[in-house]
Amino acid sequence: MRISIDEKLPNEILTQVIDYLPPHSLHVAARVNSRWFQITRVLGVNHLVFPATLRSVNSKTMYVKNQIASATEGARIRHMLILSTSILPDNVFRLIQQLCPNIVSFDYDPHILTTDMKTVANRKRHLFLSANAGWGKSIAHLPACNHAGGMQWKDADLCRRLETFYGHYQSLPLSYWRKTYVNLMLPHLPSLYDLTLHIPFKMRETNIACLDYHCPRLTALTLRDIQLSCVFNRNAYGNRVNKVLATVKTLKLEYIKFLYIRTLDYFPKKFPNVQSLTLFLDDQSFQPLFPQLEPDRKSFQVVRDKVVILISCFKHLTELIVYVKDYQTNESITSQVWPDDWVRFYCDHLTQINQLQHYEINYA
Amino acid sequence: MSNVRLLSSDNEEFVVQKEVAERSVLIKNMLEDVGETDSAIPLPNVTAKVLKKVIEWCDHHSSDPVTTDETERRTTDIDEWDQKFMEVDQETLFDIILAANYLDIKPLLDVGCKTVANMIKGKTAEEIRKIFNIVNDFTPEEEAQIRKENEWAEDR
Repeated sequence: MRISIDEKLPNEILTQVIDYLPPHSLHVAARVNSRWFQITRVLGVNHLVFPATLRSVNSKTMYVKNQIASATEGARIRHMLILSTSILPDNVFRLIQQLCPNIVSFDYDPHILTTDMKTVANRKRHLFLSANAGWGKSIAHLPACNHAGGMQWKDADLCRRLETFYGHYQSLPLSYWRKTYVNLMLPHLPSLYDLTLHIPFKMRETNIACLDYHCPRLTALTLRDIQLSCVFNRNAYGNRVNKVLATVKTLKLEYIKFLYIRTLDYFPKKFPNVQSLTLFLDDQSFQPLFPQLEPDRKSFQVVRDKVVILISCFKHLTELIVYVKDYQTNESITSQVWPDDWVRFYCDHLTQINQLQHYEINYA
Repeated sequence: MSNVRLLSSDNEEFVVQKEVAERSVLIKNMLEDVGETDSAIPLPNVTAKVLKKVIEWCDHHSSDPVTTDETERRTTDIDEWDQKFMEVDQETLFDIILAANYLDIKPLLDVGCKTVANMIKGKTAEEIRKIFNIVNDFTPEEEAQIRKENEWAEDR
């Protein structure tokens, strides 16, 4: 019989463990068992589940008032997750902001279960960062917002506090370089450990390079929908021109478009310490590499070899998750360049020598 | 440099440099209380196996500066050496955490808790129960009530 964490660790220590979890995992931890639920409550984790029967603004307002009965209870709440089958009106949000002034993370979306990863939750930035709301002084996690209106980095206190941030292009202050490339402008974010960049434009290496000094604690990076033209350069003496981003342990590349073939082997060089790699690949990812109408077998092979490098050159990989789209159609680029047999062989090998703890390859 | 003798619960004796042993606030306070002593300090809550690991950690970190900044402590990632150090079976990992708590070695306790937190991160509730052998004690009614939330929160 294996030992159980519940028998072994006393409450104070288990509390400390759970306290280290990022917001999303906190909400999952609350559902493990009743003891974990109690601990997350003490840590200020809370769910508000709006019954589908509540339709009017009044009934929803009443519901919130019933759930958060007292000011002391509201002040205790730090991580709030709202579950609702319908969009919540602004009034209800204002009430929640009023009742819970110390919110650190807040997340809601009735339509999050979209299979299309490219769309973003229907959330409004001003709900998180309005000037008169109390959260302006406490919030440290900004989830995806698709609401237009550039986010300004004027609040130095927010920049200092921010731990996770989903940078969606509609809410990021972006400038353009030669009208084709986007320039990302980030302030110093000393506490940030989880960053998502969701920018469906062309982006150059300098934007990734700047993360090194703007986000010194970055451990998880997600690049989504970006057209990347990054190349890892060496100068004539063989020295690296680009610096490595050594802090990143978790890397997700979701529907990246690789503009140059050398962008494929850029990642293992730039992020040498990645332990968990997630890839979402489809025809669009590789499209720019085949400008000619009918690519020959050799050009497919060249890309295929680079995809092998993309996966195999991470020396510390313990987890690999790949989603391959457009694979089943015979004519697709993905089916030509995705080295399925090799990846499976490689993963099996790594699993045998106990380096890889988990891998999954999914086809859609 | 003076040495300190530590006695594990299963009566194994360890001789450690004073500054290494003083990573433990408990031992440090004891030494201050009793002053210079030749007798071994008994640690009835720590087995030899775990004490060996703890001393190994203290030895490697004997010259670390003490961080008092709460946010810095929270967000600092586990360094490579510590990560290797913590690659042990679950029981030993929990024992190290408990020993660090008893001996009052805050940085080691932090590293241990972060290691466990990393094992939890990104998993579903069912996976967490499986990894740590936890019994789900929610009643069927509670379970039904949170099932919908589960779908929401875990399928991301």
